[in-house]
Amino acid sequence: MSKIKKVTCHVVSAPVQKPFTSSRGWIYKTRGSCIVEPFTSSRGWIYKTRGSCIVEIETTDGIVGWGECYGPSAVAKSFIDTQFAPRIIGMDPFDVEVIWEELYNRIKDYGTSGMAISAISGIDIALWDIIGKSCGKPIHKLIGGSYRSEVSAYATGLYFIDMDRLIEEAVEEALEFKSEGFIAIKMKIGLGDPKFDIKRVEAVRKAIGDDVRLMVDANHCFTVPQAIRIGRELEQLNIDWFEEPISPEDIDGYVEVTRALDMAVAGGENEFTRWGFRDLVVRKAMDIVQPDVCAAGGISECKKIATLASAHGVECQLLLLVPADGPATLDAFLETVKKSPGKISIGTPGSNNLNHIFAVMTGRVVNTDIITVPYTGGSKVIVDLAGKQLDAAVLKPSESKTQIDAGLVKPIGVFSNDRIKTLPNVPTFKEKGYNVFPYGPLLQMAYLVAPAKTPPAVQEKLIAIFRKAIQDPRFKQASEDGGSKVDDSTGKALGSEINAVTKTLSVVGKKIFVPEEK
Amino acid sequence: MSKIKKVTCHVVSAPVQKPFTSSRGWIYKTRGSCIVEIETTDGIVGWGECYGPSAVAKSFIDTQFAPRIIGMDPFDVEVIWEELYNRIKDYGTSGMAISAISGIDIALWDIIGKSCGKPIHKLIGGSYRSEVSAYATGLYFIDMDRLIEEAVEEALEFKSEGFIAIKMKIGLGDPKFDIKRVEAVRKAIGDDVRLMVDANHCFTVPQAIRIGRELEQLNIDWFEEPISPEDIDGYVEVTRALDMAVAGGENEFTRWGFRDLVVRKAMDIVQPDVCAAGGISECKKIATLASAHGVECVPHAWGSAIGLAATLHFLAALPDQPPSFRGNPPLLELEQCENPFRDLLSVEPIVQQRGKVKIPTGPGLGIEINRTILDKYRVS
Repeated sequence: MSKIKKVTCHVVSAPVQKPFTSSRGWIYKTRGSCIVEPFTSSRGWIYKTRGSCIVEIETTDGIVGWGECYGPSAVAKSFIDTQFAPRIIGMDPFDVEVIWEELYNRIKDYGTSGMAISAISGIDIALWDIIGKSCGKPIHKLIGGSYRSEVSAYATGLYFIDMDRLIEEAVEEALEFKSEGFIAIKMKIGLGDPKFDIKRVEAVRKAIGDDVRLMVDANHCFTVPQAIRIGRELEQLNIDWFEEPISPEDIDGYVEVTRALDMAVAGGENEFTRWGFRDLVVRKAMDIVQPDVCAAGGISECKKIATLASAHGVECQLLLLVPADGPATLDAFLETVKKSPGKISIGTPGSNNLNHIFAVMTGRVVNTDIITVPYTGGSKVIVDLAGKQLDAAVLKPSESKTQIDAGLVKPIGVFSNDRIKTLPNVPTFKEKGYNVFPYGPLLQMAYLVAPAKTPPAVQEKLIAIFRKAIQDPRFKQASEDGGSKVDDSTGKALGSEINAVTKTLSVVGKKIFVPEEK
Repeated sequence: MSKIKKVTCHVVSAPVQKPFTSSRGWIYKTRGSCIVEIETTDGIVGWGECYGPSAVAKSFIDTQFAPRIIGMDPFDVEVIWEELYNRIKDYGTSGMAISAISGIDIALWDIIGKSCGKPIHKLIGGSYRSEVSAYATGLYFIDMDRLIEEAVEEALEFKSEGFIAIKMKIGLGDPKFDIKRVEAVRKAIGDDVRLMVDANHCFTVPQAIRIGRELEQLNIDWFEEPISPEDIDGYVEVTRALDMAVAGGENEFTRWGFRDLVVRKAMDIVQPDVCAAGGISECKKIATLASAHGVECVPHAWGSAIGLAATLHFLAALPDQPPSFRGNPPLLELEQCENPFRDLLSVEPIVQQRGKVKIPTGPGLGIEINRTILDKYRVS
């Protein structure tokens, strides 16, 4: 059996000709490849060099594997040289997860994240390189296989270099990326003046046109309200994602920004291991997590982080429906709305709820008044819609599927980020370019209530009966087909959930139902 | 590049000489399985197994899955998993569809291992251990007039065979009688043999808590499936109420199913079955979720030599929870009811010695299949 013989850290650094910075303000003065001018981000670090800790592992049968650690290279080297390398000499490189756990458990008493994990990442990558070479296979064929043989890349750039030409240089660089063939570009923002940031992003968007995808990265320079405010404006500029709006340790803040904005929020480059990412994904603190293979724990751990991310993904969806002979498309319907201000009726089950909000927003996206007609239940809405007493309705798929299948009504738009699984041909408002939730995605709940004085024994019995019914796999499957998720909370737990949703609804409701100041 | 050429399901069934039951009341008169054989264009053969009704597994594979994977690279094992799962999930996201995928996944890992000349566990993270402690699953209900006597006799037999841990069935409709039976077994085997109980989800929440309190006095390692698997709230309640470990999850599937259990710590120990929950690929993911949420993962196993070998490789690559100087390694479930497929399907049977079972070290699953057994018990 081949064993690990030698671990070597190569610490390298190269000068950057043109220092750059981002909102971090770090000045990059060197880097691993040739850079013309130093640069910075909102961190304010001026990058005048670029460096890295490159890990080389050699086995007794002469195979050499390479890895890399993110972050200060001298620190990574010191972790590896003094803490990790001596422990893995003589071990089987195929025991790559065994080694990961051994090293992590060696070091976790001194901190469970940060550079210790970067150092493990470099070792892990080098071991996977060895495993692949031993088997004569590329790494991806040994960690699940290839979903694709090539990937689209986005260019990360548009740092802050010449402080007198920040807009011009961004536009020039973006156009250069476009001419080089990039189909997506990520630019730095966070210049201390949100208006100027927007002006700069606007200039870039205008220069590259709408066909190149554009992302922004704030390197966590904003507060929560600042992030939401600038996010709203970025949404108008067709930005793919808003990266690191706020400080990475503020998970609550991330939840708030992510729920408030329609656009995707990204983050996590400074998070580590499955346990760190667990706390982000369980709460869906961001729409996109961005583990760094060279930092978060290497290939072994990033596979685990991807597992967590894939295990947590749910969303609730509502539909806009019209009678069978109504307008054929969402665009056609909205044209009708525009032509008949204050005349088009949209039915909803109940009022001051999510359906009602979406009905109002349907009018608002074309700046035209509509009439909302509240009903006491979805079944009554669907009957009147099928009978053409209404021009449209906002309903759940489960409330309308039968009538859709029977050809009595037809769905023309989905009020969520993604299409509904069971109605793959119905477009979302979003993809048609209509923003129906400018105040953030909302949760819809259905729950059962009993009179306040119901005796505990009766309550228990009722809960037991309904639990049995709603936990029945047939009910669950039907619910999931209808785009909703069956939960199982009762009593106080349910009460606090309802309060949270009501609170959000009342905040958004105020914005929706109270006329905007003009 | 080697490609998948052929997928064959062997449905086998063997009579059981001495029928037995658990609290489920199902009388086991035969033991069967759906064994999956996958052949590649370069002649490598991989073996897998599906838990549950074998004819159903075969029908999923023959009509839904096999045609989709012919021509694919066996190394794209997770790509294939996602492809098959996404093909079938509109018709249900758990159950036999996932068992069928499990059998395919295990066979693909067998092929990958054989192609690389490595045992599977070396390709899924490495070996934390070269052997595992096994517990004997038995003490079912056979002779209704001698329920206590037969349990004591069987337990003593396991002890004399070297087992260091035994799991017995409970749930005879009378909690007092259950306790009396467990007490008799504990007394007979002494305090040095670890003892677990499995209720096959026959209790309500308050019943489970009440009997659990008494089991705690008898030094029971874990209380398996106290209540119905779909009642996650109930599991949370039982697990919080009892000091002893609560185990479950043999009838849960995929990372999404287990997510709902581990996020709420509904049980202390989750027990995915490699041949049911989604194969080796998916059980690795389930173990990841369990580890991220501080829940133990100790797989359920009830299959042939193939399922047993797959479970052993999964166990080899599963860390101690928590890691420590003298850790708490996961146990292998070595079910002891009559089953010729467990004993005879592998040319070299997988056996325990002094309570330990060695992890196979040959390429892939590391076992050689005795085709005459497949032919002898073939149903279809």
